[in-house]
Formats: sequence, structure tokens, C-alpha cells
Amino acid sequence: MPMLRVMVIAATLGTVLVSGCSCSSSACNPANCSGCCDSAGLCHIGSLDNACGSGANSCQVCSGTQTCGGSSCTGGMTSGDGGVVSTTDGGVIIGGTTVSGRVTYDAVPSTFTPGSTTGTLNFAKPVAKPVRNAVIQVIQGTAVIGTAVTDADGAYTVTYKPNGTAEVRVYALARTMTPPIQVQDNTDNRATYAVYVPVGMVKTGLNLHANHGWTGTAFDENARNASPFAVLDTMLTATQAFLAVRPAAVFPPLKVNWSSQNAPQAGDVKLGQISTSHYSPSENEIYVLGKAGADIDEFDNHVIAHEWGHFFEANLSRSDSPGGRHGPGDILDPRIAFGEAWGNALSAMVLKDPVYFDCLWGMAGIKCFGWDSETEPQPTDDPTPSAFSESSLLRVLYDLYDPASAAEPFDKVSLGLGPIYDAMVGGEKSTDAVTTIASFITALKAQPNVTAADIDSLLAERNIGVIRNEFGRDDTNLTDIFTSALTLPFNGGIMLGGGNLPNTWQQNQYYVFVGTGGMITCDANSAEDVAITVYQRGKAVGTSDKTQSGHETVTIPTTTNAAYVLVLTGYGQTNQDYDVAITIQ
Amino acid sequence: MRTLRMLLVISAFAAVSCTASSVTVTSPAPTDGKPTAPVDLKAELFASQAKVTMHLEEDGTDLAVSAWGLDGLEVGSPAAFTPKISRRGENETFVIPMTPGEGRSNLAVSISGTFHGAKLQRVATFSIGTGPVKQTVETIVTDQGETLKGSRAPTPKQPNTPTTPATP
Repeated sequence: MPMLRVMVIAATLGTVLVSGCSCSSSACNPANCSGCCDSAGLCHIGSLDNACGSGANSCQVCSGTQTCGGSSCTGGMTSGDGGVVSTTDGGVIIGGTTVSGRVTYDAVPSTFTPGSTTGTLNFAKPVAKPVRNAVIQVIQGTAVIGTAVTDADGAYTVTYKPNGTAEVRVYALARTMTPPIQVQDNTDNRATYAVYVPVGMVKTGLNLHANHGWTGTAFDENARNASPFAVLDTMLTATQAFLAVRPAAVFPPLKVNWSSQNAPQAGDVKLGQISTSHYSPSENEIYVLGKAGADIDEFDNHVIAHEWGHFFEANLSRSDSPGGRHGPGDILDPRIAFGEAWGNALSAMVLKDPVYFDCLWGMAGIKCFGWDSETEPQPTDDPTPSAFSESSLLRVLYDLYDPASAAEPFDKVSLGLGPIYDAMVGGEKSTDAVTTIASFITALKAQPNVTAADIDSLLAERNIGVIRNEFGRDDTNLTDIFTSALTLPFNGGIMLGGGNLPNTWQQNQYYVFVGTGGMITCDANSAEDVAITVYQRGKAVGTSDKTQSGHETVTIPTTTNAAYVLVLTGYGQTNQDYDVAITIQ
Repeated sequence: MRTLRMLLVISAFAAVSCTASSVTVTSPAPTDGKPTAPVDLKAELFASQAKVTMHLEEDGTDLAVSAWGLDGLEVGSPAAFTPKISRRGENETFVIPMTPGEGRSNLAVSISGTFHGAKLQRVATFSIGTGPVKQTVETIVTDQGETLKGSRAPTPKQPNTPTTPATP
């Protein structure tokens, strides 16, 4: 088996590589899991009846009529209490009270069109959408006395047994059980959002509707309760799109932080200073903007799905992206170019809408910008098509997914989500290279019923070579960024382009070498500030990044015949090229 | 010159100085954020004005800058600008008259333009003053340990009630 790898990788690099990676994800522990850990070491949100607990303790399975309250199994029938206590599926309590209704929220559409390149959020024409799969709780005081889950139409039925005369309320939570997703307030102790109605005389048709709260000039913050449900709905849509084609897929718990205070400013997230809507790898959570008068994203469902795409990469696949600012037309490091194209394309795929839009404030009110994932505009928004452009890769990825088009003779591919999912959780995750369009296409071509020539046609349309392996063989630019350092000691040099952001193609170069079983030292030397990191299948095994230093050295133990990628990143700010000497020995 | 096909690299960057009597706020992009206009924004907020410096990370055309206040902060005139810069690496500073609100208030700054053929925008806010986050919705902690932030839904309508058809 190792010899197969040797042949594939050597085709590009000219000599022998053998995988010896034994990478494993971090074990479930209190540092990375606030819920509970299962026997496989996976973290669960901890509020499911079949996975209940907190503080990274072992997940418990609630027995009988017990339910999980987020940290422990509670409730259940006791003798003499008059009957059967409610079940999570809305079961019957003998002698109890049953209420039913439907939960909906205001989805606010955008009027953005790629042709006009403008538009706004149309608060005047909200669409009442069902709150699907959401947790319903009947609460008296602080006691949860009944639970249920809404169906695909937002309908619920829940039975409970009141205790005393205190007001009983039905709460609809911005939380789903399957898959476990919750929308919480990062500025208010991570409280889970909900809407409620008191239970009165009417027990049927007890509907709950979450309003957008826009008054025409501003939000009535007391009535602005659709936002978390809009976020939840997009997250659920994205998850269900993959479950529809790959039912066995397992999605870990997801916490999404939204607040009306979440503003485009760096700082303390507890104050709402979240910079922008983003996925946080360190927390494995998503943050979404909500600051009226600046930028709100709860109704920009492509933005929401884009960030979910990063969550998908981190949890089911892999991303080696360095992150940072990016946008259409940029010439990026191919790792971030692919990662951001993935987010953009995924939003179009799961929402079944190729038009991405993002609406934010200007002096004249809310304005949207965006693009068509399917059709390149004229004049183009992708002036330098390549494997380094997120716009190019967006349209490659979307064309892989969408039906073949007569208007696009180069597009004969219509894979849907299934093979794309398989490639992302398969070869893309285990690549010996770094995650780029090359690793993805290589993984995709390995799927059954995928015609390589048709994929090559899509790539050619975006000025990308055929890509014969994960190192981009036969795409000139990708091949150039992967320098072969297979013969040690290696002495080489590269000229980087100063004045560009550190996440651009101009400021990055990769060196591929093979472990010897001993210690290997990598050294970079330049007149400008540089950094080096050594990766083994996406895991950083050594890094050196001294502040404002042009000399970086790192020594790592290596596994015999395992592939390593040394990533050199330059921080030169002056508008001129500069040399970097690299040695690996 | 490192080039990717026809790409040409042109850049110049000058650092912006800060003064001790002001509040300096930057708006760096986080690790995995949404696509945005390639502009870095930095602001120094004083008692009566703000100095906002924009740094172009890519060439841009049709650039427009505007500012307004949030949470009680008031902006005077001028509040809208047409930048003189257009090339990657260039900086320009705008002086915006303003009066902070009580507690924590915010200056919002927007820049829009066309970059690489795509119309893009970015908005950033800059806080001045201190104060707690104002919460308008009640929270409860259930006996199961979960904190809920629940607002009351409007008075429920009665479903299952057939709509009376209009009389012809």
C-alpha cells in the first residue's frame, strides 16, 4: 500500500513519499467540550436524551420517561404522581394538559439581483417560515414540565402536568435536537434564544410567531425575535442538505452566537465586538453580526451558510486555510482561496440559490452586494482566473454541483452534493499536501461515476490545468507553489512579493519533504519578516514565527517516509520583491 | 517581481501614528470571516472628532466613504467623502466631527467601491466610552440549568379557523 502513495506523489515531486501520518483529532475534554463526551471521544451538546451531560463528563442515556435538562437526566414517572410524564416526542400524560400550535418566524428576503448589483432587505414582505425541529418547553416558573419538538412544518403538540397556579408558558427555543444546533447570545451569558406565549384557556392553535421587529426606520429590539430563528433555519437547511444525500453523516453540536449587539469591530465578544460574521476554529462556534445601523447578517442566509461551510470543514473535513481578509478577484494563497470558495459555493448549493448577497448599512440605509455563483458578469469580477482566485473556484465548485447547462458548453458535470461530500470527508481530509483545489479535485476524481475529463473542462474554463494529483500536477501555478525538497539536505530560495497581505499567493511558498525517522531542521532567512510552519496532513508539527524577524528555525522529529509540507509565509510590507533562503536538513 | 501570469504588484504602506489622548480602534478581519471589501480601517476617537484612516489592500474605483453615529453618538459635517486614493497600499485619513453619546456609543464608517470588477462594501464600528451591554429581553434559568432568553411572541392567532371567503 505505501508504494501506491509513492507512485502518486512521486509523479509530481520526482521521488519517493510514503505516508506515515497517525494524525488524530483532539480527545474530548473540558477544554474543548462544554457538553458531554461519548465513548468514541466525540463531544455532544449534552442536552439530548441519548447523550446527556456537561463538563465533558461521560454522556448518559436518559432512561424511561426521563428527559435531559442539559446537564443531567431529570423527571420521569414516580409512583403516585397521577400518571405518565411527558416524553420528548410530545407523548401523552394521563391526567395532564395538552396544547398544540405552530411556530413560525419572519424570513426577510433580499431584493438584490446580480444584474443591478444592488438591492436591500425587504422588511415589508417577510415570509412566515416554520421553525423546524425546534425544542418546545412548557415552563412554569423555572420548572420545565413538558417538552416536545416541532415538526417540519413548525407544528407541535406537548402534554404537561401543571404544579400549582403559577403561569404556564410555552417556549419555542432556537435550538434543535437532531442535529444539535443552538443559537445563543454571546453578550448575555450564552443564553439560548426563545419566544414564548402564556398558556391560557385556549389549548389548540397556540401559535408562536417571531417577528423581525423592523418598524420602518429602526428595530424595536423588544419585538426583534425572528433573528435567531432565521440563523437556526439556515444552519438546519445546510445540515439537512447533506443528510439528505448522506444519511449516515454525523454532525457535532454547533453553537451559533448572535446578538443585536454583535458589531463589526474587533474586541471583546462579550460586548458584541466580533469583527464580522465568522467561524471561530478555537471555539468551534460561529458568530453572526446583528448590529442595526451597521451590519446585520441574520437574514443574509448565504453569509450564514458560508460560515457553516467552515464549520463543516473543521469538523467533517479539513481546512489548512491561513484565514484573513479575502474577497472576489483576490490572488490568494490557494488554501484560503479554496476554503472561501467552498463557503461561497456551499451556500449556493444548500440554499439552492446561486445568488449570494450580503446586506449592510450605508448612509442611505441598507444596501446589498453579491454575485452570481453560476454566471460570470461582464465586465468580469474575476480578472485573474486561477487556482488562487476564490471567484474562479466558486464557479468550478458550483458547476460541479449544478445541472449541466446548455448555456455553458464546458459544463457537463452534475454531481449534486453526494460525491462532493465524499471527496471532502475522504481524500480532502487525508491529503498529504495542503487543502487546495488540487487536493479536492484529486479526491473527487477518485469517486465512482465521476468523469475526469468533464472536470478538466470546468477547470480549463477558469484557467486551471487538469490537476493530476493533490500537489496540482499539470497546473502550472499550483505546481510552482509546491517546491520539491525530497532530497535532503535541501537548499533553495524564493522571491516573495512584498506589500501584499500574508494570506496571498505572493507571500507564500510550500516545500514538500519526506521524514527520515530522525530530527529535521527547517530554516528560513530573509531581510524581511517571515514565518515557517511544518504540517503533516494538516497538523502543525512545528512552527517558528518570531516578531519582526527574518530568521526562523524549527526542528522536528520525523516519521520515516511520512510527507511533510513546510509553509513559508512572508510579511514584507514594502512594495518590492524580497528573497528568502530555505534550508531543510 | 513575483507574478502570477499577468499580475503586477504595486504597493506602498505608511504607518499611522496615534496619540495618547485618543481611543484607537482597528478593525482587523478574523480568521474565517465573510468576503468583504479589501480595506483596512483604523480610527482615533477624540472628544469632538474622529480621525479615520483607510488603507487600501487592493486597487479600487468608485470609492465612497461615509460615517454616521450609533447609540447616541452624533456626527457633524462633513460625513461623506470621496477618497483621493485608489491604489493598493495607499492610505488616506478623514477627519469627522462627532459628539459621543452617553456611556458606550459607536461611530460607524462605511466604504464601498469596485475591486477587481466586483462591487464590495465594508462597514466597521468604533466604540468610545464605556458601559454595559443593554439587555432588553428577560432571561430565566430553568430547573434543568439552561438559560433562556425569551421574548413574548405576539398574541397568538387562532389556527384551524377557516378563513371566511369574501362575499362575491
